[in-house]
Amino acid sequence: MSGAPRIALALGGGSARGLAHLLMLEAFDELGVKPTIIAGTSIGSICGAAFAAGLSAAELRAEFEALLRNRATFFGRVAGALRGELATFWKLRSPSVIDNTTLFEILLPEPLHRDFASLKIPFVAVATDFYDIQQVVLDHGPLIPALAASCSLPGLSRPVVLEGRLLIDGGYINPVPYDVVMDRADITVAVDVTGDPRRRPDARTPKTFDLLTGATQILFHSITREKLKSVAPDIFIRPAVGGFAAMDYFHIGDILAAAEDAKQDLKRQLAGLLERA
Amino acid sequence: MTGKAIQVRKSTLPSVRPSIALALGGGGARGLAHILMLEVFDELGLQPNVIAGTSIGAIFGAAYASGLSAKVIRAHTEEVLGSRTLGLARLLISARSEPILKILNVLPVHASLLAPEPLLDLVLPSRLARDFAQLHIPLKIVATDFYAQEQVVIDSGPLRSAVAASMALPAIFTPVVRARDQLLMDGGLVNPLPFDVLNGAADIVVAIDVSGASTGPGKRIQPSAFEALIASSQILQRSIVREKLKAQQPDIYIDVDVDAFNVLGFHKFRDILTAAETAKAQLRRQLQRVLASQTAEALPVAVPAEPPAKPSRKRRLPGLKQLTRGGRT
Repeated sequence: MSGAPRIALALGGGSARGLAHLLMLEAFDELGVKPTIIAGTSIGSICGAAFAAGLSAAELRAEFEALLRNRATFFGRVAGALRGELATFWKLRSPSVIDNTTLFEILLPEPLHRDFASLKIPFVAVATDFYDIQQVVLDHGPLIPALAASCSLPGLSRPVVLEGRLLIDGGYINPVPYDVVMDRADITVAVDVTGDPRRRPDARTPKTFDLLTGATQILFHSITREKLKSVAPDIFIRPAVGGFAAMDYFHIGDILAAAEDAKQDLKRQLAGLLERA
Repeated sequence: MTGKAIQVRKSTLPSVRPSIALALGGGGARGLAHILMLEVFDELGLQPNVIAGTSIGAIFGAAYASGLSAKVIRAHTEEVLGSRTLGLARLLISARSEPILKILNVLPVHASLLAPEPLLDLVLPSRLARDFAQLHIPLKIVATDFYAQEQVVIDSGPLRSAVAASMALPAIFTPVVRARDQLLMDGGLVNPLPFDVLNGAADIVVAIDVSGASTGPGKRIQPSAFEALIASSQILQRSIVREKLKAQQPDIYIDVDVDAFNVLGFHKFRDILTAAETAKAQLRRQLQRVLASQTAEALPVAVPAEPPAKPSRKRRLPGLKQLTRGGRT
């Protein structure tokens, strides 16, 4: 359909909350429309790349649900694949730092082990140049290092060196990367899964950990809020997953349930825009 | 003595001159550069009509708005940061001791945090106004409402707790409770360069940006987890400023070249002040241009704000030496 409006889809960063992206992809499949270009930051880059590779939303969801069914399955799969390579994965000198590239080689489905060029839908991953403080839009070469860079959360994952740059998570410069693709489409859809500071009813003041993560989330929100003042997408969806923590991956069922309303909302809005187009 | 200094400033100020609003941004130790920017105002005999401050910008904004001259503020700061009595506080907040690393090691266990207000008592000059009502220059202090994730602009009531709230850096300082159920933290989380809260407040809006950029790789390309964490919060603040400048620009934008300094590098205060001399000269030139026009109507076209997006220096990491900065004016 050459006359169909071109749709750009931007999937934002937010760790486990980004599992909500799976439902947004379902919305596309159920409407029978495909984005003509996808941009992803962090977890959004994984979901976006998989969809761009041709996996259906249902297949991708099944993949994640199988992987995250329980901790034993997940860590069993990681440990089994690693065998003697644990030292590479967790640098012994700084035990908190995970090597995303190794992790993704183990966990991500086969279509993501190829190149950007093999993707069925054009796709870009957003990362941050750590030393230059520049946005880096990754759009060529092997997928896994690009996804690893886009997901490299400082303090948790080791930054990725790619083409001479040291790259960290794209969320630090562009948490919802709709602006990098909107000029290549007629309709732009942005999905924001940045979390909200956690309020613990029992504690009078938040714990240090909650303060730190909450502060980071406020910073992410501030970037998006300021960006929206100068340029806005046609559809901006914020699934109600803000209350989940970054590492709540094993709560996939609850996260998907919480994102259901947003999925219906996206379907309504997108169908409306397509009708008018 | 302080009062006199202010009278001198006022008497040299023709009423036809354009009014000036000054925004002092957040950036931790790099904000020590604000002192030099305040010196420019004193040296030109100019007084801002209103000041907005975030974090370290709130500290210096409060001191200056209290009527202290830049000279007095500088002397006090040098005394405080150079003194042994503050050794403990310096140790706690300086990058060398890496306190956050210690906190991280015990996460998510409750970690003991510094209360910002007692520290402020040590750091701030004793002649600081107690209440916004006593200030010589109207002041707007920016803090972050933690749960609402929104900016809070404080311009009345007790001054000290407002400054404390604005500088309550997460994981170093305890948040400040000013109103019921309102937990206030570092204003830099929502507005690291608060020139937009001064919209319409004066003819000319001046913004001093100390959000800086990264420091470039050291001996190793890979930063430690601690370095990555500290730097990443700087990157976030820089990103906010950059997005904000896309929507709106101040009339005079000074991007202080303090990139080489860490947010917690208070122990390098002399180097920071030296590095800020370029920005000081730049601010003086731009303000003089405004003064030369005498009236707001005849103002020269504002120099377009230099976007903080640094032209990519296309550095290649392998074999990279410590970043050297070219002069940028």
